[in-house]
Amino acid sequence: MSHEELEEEIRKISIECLISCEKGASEKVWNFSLKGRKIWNVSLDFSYDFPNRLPFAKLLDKDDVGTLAHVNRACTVCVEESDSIVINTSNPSKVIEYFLEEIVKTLDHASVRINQVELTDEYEGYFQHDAIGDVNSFYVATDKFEIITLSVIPIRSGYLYRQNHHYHFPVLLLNQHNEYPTHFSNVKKAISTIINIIHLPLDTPVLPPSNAEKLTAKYIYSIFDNISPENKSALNEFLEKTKPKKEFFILLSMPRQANERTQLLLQYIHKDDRPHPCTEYSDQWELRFYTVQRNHREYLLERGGAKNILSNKKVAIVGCGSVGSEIAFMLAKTGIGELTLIDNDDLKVDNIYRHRLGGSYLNYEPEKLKTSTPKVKPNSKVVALQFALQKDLPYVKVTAIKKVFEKVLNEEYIVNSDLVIIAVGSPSLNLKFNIDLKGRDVKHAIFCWNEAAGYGGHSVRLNLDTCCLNCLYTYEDGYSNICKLNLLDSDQKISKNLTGCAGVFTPFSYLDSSQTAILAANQSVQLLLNQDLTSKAASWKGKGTGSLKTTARYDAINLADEFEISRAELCKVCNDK
Amino acid sequence: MPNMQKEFDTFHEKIKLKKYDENKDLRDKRDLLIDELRDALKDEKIPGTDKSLTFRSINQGSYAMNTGIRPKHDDYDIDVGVIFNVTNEEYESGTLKKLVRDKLNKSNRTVKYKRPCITVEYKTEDYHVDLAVYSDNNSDIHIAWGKEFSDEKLWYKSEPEELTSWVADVSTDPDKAAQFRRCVRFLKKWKEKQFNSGGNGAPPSIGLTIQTRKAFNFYDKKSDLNALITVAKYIKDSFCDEYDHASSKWMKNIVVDLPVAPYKNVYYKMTLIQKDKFHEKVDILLEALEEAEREESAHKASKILRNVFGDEFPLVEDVKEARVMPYVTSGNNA
Repeated sequence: MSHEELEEEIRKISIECLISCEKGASEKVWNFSLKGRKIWNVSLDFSYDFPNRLPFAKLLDKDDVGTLAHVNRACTVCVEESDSIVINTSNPSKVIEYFLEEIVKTLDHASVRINQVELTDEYEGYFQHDAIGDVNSFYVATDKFEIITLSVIPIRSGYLYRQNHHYHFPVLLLNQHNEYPTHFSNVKKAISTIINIIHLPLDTPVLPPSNAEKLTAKYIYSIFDNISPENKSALNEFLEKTKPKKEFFILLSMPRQANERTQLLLQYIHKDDRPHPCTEYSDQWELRFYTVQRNHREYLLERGGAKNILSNKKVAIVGCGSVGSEIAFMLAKTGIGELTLIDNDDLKVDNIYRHRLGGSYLNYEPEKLKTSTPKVKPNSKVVALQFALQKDLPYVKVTAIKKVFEKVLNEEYIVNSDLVIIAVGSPSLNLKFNIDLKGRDVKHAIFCWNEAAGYGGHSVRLNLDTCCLNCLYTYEDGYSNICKLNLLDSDQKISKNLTGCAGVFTPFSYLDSSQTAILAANQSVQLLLNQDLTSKAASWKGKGTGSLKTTARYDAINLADEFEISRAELCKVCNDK
Repeated sequence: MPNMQKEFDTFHEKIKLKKYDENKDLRDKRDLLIDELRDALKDEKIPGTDKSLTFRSINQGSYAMNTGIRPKHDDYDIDVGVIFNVTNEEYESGTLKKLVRDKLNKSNRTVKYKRPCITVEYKTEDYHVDLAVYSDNNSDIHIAWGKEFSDEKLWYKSEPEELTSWVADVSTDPDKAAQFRRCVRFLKKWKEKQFNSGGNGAPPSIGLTIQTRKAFNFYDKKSDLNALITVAKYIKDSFCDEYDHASSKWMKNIVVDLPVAPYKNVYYKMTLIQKDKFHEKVDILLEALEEAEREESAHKASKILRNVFGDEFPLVEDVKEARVMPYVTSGNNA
């Protein structure tokens, strides 16, 4: 939109709260006086593709900044928190009018003093633009004073380096009990030089300094006193033992309305040794600070849409091929705490276009053996998956069992699992496992498999107390080899081979397996959250990539289908139990 | 002004603590301890006489007044008074209180000797019992007051049952009395949210109860919000200015006497700075309540009230005519 067009739109504005408007600092910036609980002076910056994007709003009354929620230190008014705005661009003046009214409502709401709690809740965001950087943290800040550890590296460039006083850059905050996942990402490498610092928890939240001022050593000193008597005596004990230094770090925290505390990592720097900044006030300190990137479980799970409530659930996955490996990743990302993976196969290059894991988990290197014929030993699927999952997610416990299923059937990790998922693909094995699980009093199981060539897939969740997989093979006149869910006619030539009999495989793709895995993962989560404990068969239907003959069910169902399974009267497995 | 009464009613249902007669569990817990004390004292004689030492128990505190709220961390507080058949001369107040403490001191609990009562805390239970010890003193009840190792240990006149009746007698109209009790509970939730968790500097609940009772000549059946505004205004107006020499500042002070013996100031424990802070918080409360009352959008009003009372107050969904808005938030994301 050109400047002229913008001006024309602005001149059309007619709303009750508008007192006046005039051009601001540039052609695309306009200043408005608005009437609300008081007169609000704001500027709108239309430079960023208006009307496809909303303008940026700034509060011009600096005196109020630091007392109003939803206005940060740069005076930006946060009117809409969401990225997901849909704008009717055909009438830009109406958009501006509505936006101005929303600004007034936001500022009016913020100016009611009880709502200042919303500002203290967003204290970190208020200062975000002033922070030197982010520091990762596995430490969970509570209301308790603690000595914690900070991993640091020396600053090797810039003005601080030139001062030659060996200042540091903070890397990772840890608690003193070393409760952090060393297998996750490259956490281990980040823990080199460690120093002890204090976590200083304020008792009540405080407002930022007034008039949009920066964080200063003076302001911080004025709020140190706001700690409980127990924390104060622990602090004093620490201070007595602390010698003057050129650099101090303090993790400052304060309560928010929700569980998570506000946190800032403060860094005090001076060219000479000085007493700890909590001991006495000095305007000599240079104060820098870092925002805290939380790495602890509760935060990460909630931030990622996972469920903390699942973190005490155990799931065993039997068969970690294309479908099983995908389910393992999906379930880990829902927040499930413990996975046991069972498969006897190795990961081979043949698998990589349809297995969850790719080439980085293959081994091409011969073993360094002293024997005359070194071997290139493949990685097992379960061990590679265990490594991949634990490297990707810090709070999932994965146990890898490289064994055939029959050998682990009585093991505790199967019997005590909240759910056993069978993703072996073979109908005969499925039926055998069905009998075995029923015999071991496993209550909840999911069987899942793909149809060939992209025609579909199934996930069958069973409450084995009430019915079983065999019920889907049992008709009014008894057992048949044809599953009621089938989408392809039996006894067609479906398998393929590219290199002879030893290379026979069923054609299906990664996308097919992923769709089946989604069905199984959803059924798992519904069960583990107690949302749905019933026995259900879920199927997806695809167009298929071959010319295979389909069943009547294939023609009858929608792209997705689900029905409740009931016990078949003549089911031998259910009746034998 | 949106009508928020439905939200206030929902909020009240969430926070209210049932009376003893509706709450068998707590009643049983209370009776268990009282029976235990009675049993432990069965052979005890009043010193120098062969008269048995006996007592009757009374309910007191918010259970008796029916103004209790559910405790935040499930630490239920049972308030009981035990009135002994002794005169002030027959027992030194500290001696009788110590006797009660010693008889109840067992391994599954911690028994504390506090200034107004004996507190029994259980290691594995979600409640504690505050036992106030009284002498009947020929129907002239006195409370055993003072800490165990303090010189200030005495009997002084107290009217616990009269206090409960005074609060209960707020009105003969049951609707009005119910609104009064709701308002007291709302103020207790306000106190819980606005004063820090350690309780340092928070006004005692009995103070808020007495002030609400005194303010309750107003009644608006349709609006707890309006009733609360009246109460907040009354509390705010009951402060007076006092010059603080230590800080060279004018501060706000408050004196509210118990309506029964011993007629002492219910805020006696608070420092002037704490009382000044109390005033500021009441002022902020009043502003918030009035703003919620003025607010056109029920959504915004509910947001304000959640900042006053906490997240148990229901959030009213934002109703916008999405179809005709110049822009809307969709929630879409990738």
